[in-house]
Amino acid sequence: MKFPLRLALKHLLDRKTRNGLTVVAISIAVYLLCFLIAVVQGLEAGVRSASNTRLVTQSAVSLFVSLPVSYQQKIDQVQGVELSTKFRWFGAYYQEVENFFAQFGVDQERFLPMYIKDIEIIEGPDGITGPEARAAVQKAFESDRRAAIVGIGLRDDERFGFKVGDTVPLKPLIFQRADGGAWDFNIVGVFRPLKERIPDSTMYFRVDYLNQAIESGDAYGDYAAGVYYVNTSEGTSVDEVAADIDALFENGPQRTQTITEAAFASFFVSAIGNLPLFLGTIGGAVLFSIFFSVVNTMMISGRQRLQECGILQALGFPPLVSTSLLVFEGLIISLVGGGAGIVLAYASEASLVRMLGENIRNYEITPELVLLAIGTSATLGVIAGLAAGLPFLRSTPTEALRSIG
Amino acid sequence: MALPTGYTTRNLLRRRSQVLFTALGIGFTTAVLCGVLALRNGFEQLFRPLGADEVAVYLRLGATSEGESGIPRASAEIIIKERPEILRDDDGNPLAAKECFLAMYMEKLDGGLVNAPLRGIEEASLRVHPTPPKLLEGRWPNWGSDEVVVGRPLVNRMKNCSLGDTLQLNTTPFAVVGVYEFDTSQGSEIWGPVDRMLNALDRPVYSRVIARVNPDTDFEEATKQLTEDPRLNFSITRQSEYLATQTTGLSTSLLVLSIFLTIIMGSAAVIGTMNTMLATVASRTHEIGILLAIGYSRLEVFMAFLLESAQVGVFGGILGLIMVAPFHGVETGAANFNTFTDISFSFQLSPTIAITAVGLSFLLGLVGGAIPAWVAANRSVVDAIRR
Repeated sequence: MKFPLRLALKHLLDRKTRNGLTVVAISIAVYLLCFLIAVVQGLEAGVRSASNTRLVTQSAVSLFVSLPVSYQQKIDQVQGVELSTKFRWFGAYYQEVENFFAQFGVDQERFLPMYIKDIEIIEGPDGITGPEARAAVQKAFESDRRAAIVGIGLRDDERFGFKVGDTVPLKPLIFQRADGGAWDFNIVGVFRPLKERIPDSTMYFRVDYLNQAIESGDAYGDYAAGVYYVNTSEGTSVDEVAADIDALFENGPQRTQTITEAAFASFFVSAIGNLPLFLGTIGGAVLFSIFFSVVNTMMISGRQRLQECGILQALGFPPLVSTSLLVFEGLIISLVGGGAGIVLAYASEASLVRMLGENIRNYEITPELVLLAIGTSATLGVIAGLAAGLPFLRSTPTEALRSIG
Repeated sequence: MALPTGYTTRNLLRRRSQVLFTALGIGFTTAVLCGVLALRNGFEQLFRPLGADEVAVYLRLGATSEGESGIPRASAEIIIKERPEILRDDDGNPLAAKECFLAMYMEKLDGGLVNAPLRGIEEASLRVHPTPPKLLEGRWPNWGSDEVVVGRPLVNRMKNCSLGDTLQLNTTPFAVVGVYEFDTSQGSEIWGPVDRMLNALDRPVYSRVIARVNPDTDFEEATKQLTEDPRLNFSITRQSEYLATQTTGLSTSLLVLSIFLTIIMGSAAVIGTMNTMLATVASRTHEIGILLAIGYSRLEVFMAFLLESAQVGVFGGILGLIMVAPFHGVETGAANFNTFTDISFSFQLSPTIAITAVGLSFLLGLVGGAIPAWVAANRSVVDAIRR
């Protein structure tokens, strides 16, 4: 069987408007596919980068219940616990509520050693950079109660522009001060996250600054630790350590639930209401409807091609040639459309990353995604071609010639 | 202007399958749009009816939600006993209640953990609202016991939430003694006696005071008095205004999502319609020639084809409504971004949504039909008739 390639190409160019429109529809669909999957993958990247050997000890009742500070001593004595630190959500903003970012109160002696593989200190006091910066920042963090370490995003974003040596006032949403004013923090270091789960606009400060203010009546709130981050020593079973910690507080005053950092991170993703499923369902419906219209268009093409099929049959070509002509046509149109969609996805990647910002970090069009997009378009093209071309196989030359399209 | 409408309508019937498929394409677009809008509608409805202005909420000054607020026990007593705007019942007791609020970890029946809203209430909480919550099953809790009632939507969504179950709060077990229905944002919560709950949770402070107040209350003046009182540092807000601030996140996201999807799907549907109509026009060149030859003007031919396309559009819109109709009333849950808790709500279709949808599909048909109709109307009579 000889495939009439020239005829196939003629077909493609013959119906410029229709094929052009179909290409546009497919490129929209493929673009949407890339966008949705990249968003979901971005959400999950944070979870994947979270540690399986670090534990988070939190209240068994609620994320919003803060554990007592007295728990730390008991946690430290559990077999297999290497290092623990308090980790307390602060919830404040800089100047305007829109400039909200995450701040956590931590133990000044323990935090940087614990996060040795999680953040890299790139700038310390007096312009120190490089490998010595970490030790210098550690010293400054321990010597100044108001000291704070900020992510590189807070330094580079012009809304903040926090520099080492600056004193920045943050307005509280949770821990109101008795004087009604802001909390002052002295920036002593800048870090770059080494893990995708840590936003580069995070600030770490000393939790004793907060707790002392509460104790002395300068601020309102409870004197507490938040949650505990716990590093386990190598070779121990994290499940056993977690169970041992929870057993300590079985009878209160606050029951605890200790889970891995990875599980903790995945809860945050799922708590916003199973976004992957939601986007998947809606995205699926959208894609289905677009693909549906593409198949429909091909079927219309097919119906109008019946007469031609008759001519080809009369000339001695089997009906399969007409079918493969349509499959070929569908494949080319889909691949061109898919290619345009991929180009569009790449072209808009940078601006989308900027736009999505903190909400969805790690938005990225990966090579696997591109392969998936190409595969999807090819499948669509073949299906559309077959849907349009299969009826030819049952047609006889006389019937086909008689058709009026 | 005389349009050959009989001709175009009969043509639609003649090319049934082709028309049906095109209409289905438009129908899917309409269905997805309706679905998202219906979700948003269901969510917003929860926050609307509660907004009676005679109910007021006291929060710590500066707090934007109950989760952030804290009211020490002594201060709450002062507010309830001394504030002049609070109304009293026939026995002279203030119509006001101290409440606590906490987003509590709960397991869903189909697996997974969510933040469910837990609210400590007092007997007066049930009488503050103009349309009070209804008891569906069991009884209200004894105010001195470790007992809770749960909102109806939770029974089918969360573990340990059926009548007779036991809910563990920290170290204390609470018995589920009733199921309530409250058609508001507070309809999917867990309610128990506030002091028993604070005790079990080992928490020192209330979250808010809720009260029925005199309708003539000057809220600004009342807030001023509340902040100037050296013993207090609180604000008072109309419940309607308070609730309005609690919906923005999810509601806006859903609206943005529906617009985004409509644009994407709409353009695909327009392309589909255009392709179908172009094909129809191409295969009916001869007929168009005849129409022009027997005296129909080009404008009339244009209008006739446009109308044909719009008919397909409206038909698709109705198909879409039929597709989405079974979802009406189906309940689901999502996180309310403002409180970070899970809230149950249902798809609520409305006449406005239906009209929007059919209007949109009409528009999609028109836009998709414009170019093909123009192509049809501009055929040369002689060439067309020769085909």
